[in-house]
Amino acid sequence: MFELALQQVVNGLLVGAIYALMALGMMVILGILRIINMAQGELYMLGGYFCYLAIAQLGFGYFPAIVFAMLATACAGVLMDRLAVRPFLRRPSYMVFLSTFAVSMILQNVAELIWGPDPQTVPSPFTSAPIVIGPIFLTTQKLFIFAVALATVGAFAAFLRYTRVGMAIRALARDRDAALLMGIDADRIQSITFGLGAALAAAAGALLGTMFNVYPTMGQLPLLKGFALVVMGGMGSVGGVFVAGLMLGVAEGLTAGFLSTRYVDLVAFVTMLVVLMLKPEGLSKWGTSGV
Amino acid sequence: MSKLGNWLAWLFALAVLPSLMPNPYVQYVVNLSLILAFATIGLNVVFGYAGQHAFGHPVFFGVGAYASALLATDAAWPVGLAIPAGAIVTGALSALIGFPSFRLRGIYFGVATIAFSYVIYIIAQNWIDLTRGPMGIPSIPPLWVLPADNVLGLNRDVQNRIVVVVFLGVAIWVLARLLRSPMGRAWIAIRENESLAASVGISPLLYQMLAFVFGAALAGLGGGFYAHYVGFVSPTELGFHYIGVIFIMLIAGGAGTLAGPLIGSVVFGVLPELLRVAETGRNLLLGLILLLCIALLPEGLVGLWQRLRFARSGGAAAVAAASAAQPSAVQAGPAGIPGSREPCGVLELRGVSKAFGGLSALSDISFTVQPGEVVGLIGPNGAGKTTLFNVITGCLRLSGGDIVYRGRSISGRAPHQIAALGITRTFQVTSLFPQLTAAENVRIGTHLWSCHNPFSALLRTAKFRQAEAAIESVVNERLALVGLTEQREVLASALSYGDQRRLEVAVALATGASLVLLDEPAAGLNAEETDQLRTLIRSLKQAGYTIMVIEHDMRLVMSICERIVVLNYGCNIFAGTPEDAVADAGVIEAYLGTDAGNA
Repeated sequence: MFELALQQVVNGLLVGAIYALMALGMMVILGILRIINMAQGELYMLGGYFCYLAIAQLGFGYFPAIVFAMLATACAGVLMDRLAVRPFLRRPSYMVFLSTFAVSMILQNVAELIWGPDPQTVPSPFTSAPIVIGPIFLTTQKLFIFAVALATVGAFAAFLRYTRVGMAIRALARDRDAALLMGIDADRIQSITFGLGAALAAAAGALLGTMFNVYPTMGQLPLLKGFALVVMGGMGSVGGVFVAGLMLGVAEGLTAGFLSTRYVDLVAFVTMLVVLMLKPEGLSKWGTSGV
Repeated sequence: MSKLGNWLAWLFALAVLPSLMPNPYVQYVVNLSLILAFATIGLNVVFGYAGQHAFGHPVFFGVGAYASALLATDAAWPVGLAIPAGAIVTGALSALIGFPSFRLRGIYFGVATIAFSYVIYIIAQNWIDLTRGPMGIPSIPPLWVLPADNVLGLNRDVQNRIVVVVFLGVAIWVLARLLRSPMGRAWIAIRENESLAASVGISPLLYQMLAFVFGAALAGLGGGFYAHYVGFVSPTELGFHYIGVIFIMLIAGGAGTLAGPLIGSVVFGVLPELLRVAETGRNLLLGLILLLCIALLPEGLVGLWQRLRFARSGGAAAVAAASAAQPSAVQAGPAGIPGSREPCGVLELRGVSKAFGGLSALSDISFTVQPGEVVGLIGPNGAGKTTLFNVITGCLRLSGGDIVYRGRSISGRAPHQIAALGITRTFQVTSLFPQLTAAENVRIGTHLWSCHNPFSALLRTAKFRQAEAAIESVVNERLALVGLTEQREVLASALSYGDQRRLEVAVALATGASLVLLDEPAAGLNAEETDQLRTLIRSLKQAGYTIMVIEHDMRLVMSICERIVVLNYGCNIFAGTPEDAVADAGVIEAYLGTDAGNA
């Protein structure tokens, strides 16, 4: 019993770190633009497919493939911002919701046309032999994925905290007008933000895609879970979202282990709805909780 | 009634014309589009009219399909009973979802509705005992209107289409009637300006909920038709694809219009199928259509049609004729207060305090406003004047003390409840329903004393028509009172600043409130407009209104107020006549500083 719990906690932490990556990508975009990017899940999906493309068709190594996926998806994110977000920013807020929703439909369909509707397996360079630590079974692949996820979150937090661009992003998110008056180039920062958000989503997609499979609709659930995490972890708190991601992963692992695997995906939404009901407006704002 | 005739002709055409198509698949596609129109119209109520960004709302189409299908299969109800019952079940479920969701604001509300829709999807996939899981419910009994196929030469497709079109017609008729009643006006008011709506007595939550549930029941009705027409329901009908399709139909047709959802459903339901890309590129095409619609046709096909017609008929001339048709009434003072229910009572503030975190915005304010008085509330910027108005009208909760009106405590009540007691306000920053005409703005102001029974509105009972006639006369009278009779058909956003400020007063007066709080009514007005305002406030006083006014224009304050309350740093430093106020050492100090006398 205890061993199962421990195993599920470890598995949960692993998945949770990747959820956190996805949610952080969503958070930077949401924080700056105050819009819901409904195509964020498709950036995640693109990350998965680019990784697959790099390994299976271009013969990249595993780590370079992840970097390639992040870069390629970042370009896609910048493009998406230019084509489907900026033209509608001066319109009522629901317009961007709808335009990104349209992009989501388009990208899903395009992926299906290119790679087919069936799940694709990303070839893994790792052996499937487990590493046994006490009662816990792990694979080198899982350990590698966890390490990459942690490193990416750490690099992202450091970027926001210590670089000039990161500071500009935080300033724009906190008070757009004041930031503009201080001479921050909002257009440029918005492009960078979209690229960054896309790269984080792609990292998550590439990592989780190699653990499971890649398929055209793989982004739907992470999109919704990402929202849930941003809401629960607090808008604008990297630490908060990261911890929320880990906790969600663990909670899902335990639900699957002890209750039922059927309703695992409900955990995120039920928790988010409870949080929203208890604190309808009281989600910590960007910056106030110390990025 | 040519409009009604037009509608009937179009609906008849929708029911009959598809039968001329030789291809049965086309008939099938048209029928599905018409069935989806219920969901589009339902979404239009919530999204287009009430302005709530309920992104997950189309899921109720699938909920209705499941509910009706399960009632007809597991419970073996007759189909004719299962469909309306399914709509009712859907409405009930939407009430359970809407109530907590409407506590949230902005994007969080949208996120919550999406999350709920996904929860429903997951439940449908996994509660196998009830829903049969991912495989869906097969062989749902069909809807037979006539006892069998080809009775009177009408096959099942045609029978279903006729029933669906008849119900669509009824739904549109009901919606049209509701829109011309207090319910529809309240929806639009909340969409345009929620806080102003609350200050004229409209409960945002109540009308948001009514729109949400009514829309969900409509969508659920469509879902019922769908289940029994197609004969199969699966979790797909609850998924993102349908949500996207229904949004496209609404936006591309024209949100916030009666015909838009129907046109959008038929055009964008049939078009992609006819283009024969349904197999591989359906979502690609739909996504592109949606993007193009938002980019090029933000008001949808109906908006495009109106723009074309407007251009053809020489739009400017039409508008000029409409406004010239209105006789410019002589500005007359009000005789009595039509529409007000009770005379003003005594308003008493007892040690009112308000703190924001550690900052004390108001501390221990006590004074009384007697019926018929004009009381000026003055003080330096940041003294807490507007905060005091916000506390009195329920926009902010007070941290200490009590506010008593007509002998009863009103603290802790919501803005619309306080408006119902006869206290209303205007706002410091101009606050109107911008996309509505001046007359429509004032009409919304009459909400509190209009006829609220929706069935009276549907049947246009004598009582309802009397109430609406009374509303029209008050609208005319209030517009004349503030001198806006000629601008009655002008959009509020297109009025000049001075006209907007006067329209705000007219909206507040239309509520029938007897105590009116005016927040800096003269700010930004020129000398002539300020004189008009002075005349207006004096005539209101003569008519028996009680008025509290925040104002920085001291000459205006001195000339209209009998009593003045001075705030400084959230404290009440003076209350008395204007003459005493200018002589009071404390007041002089607050405005000019301590050294004024010595220098």
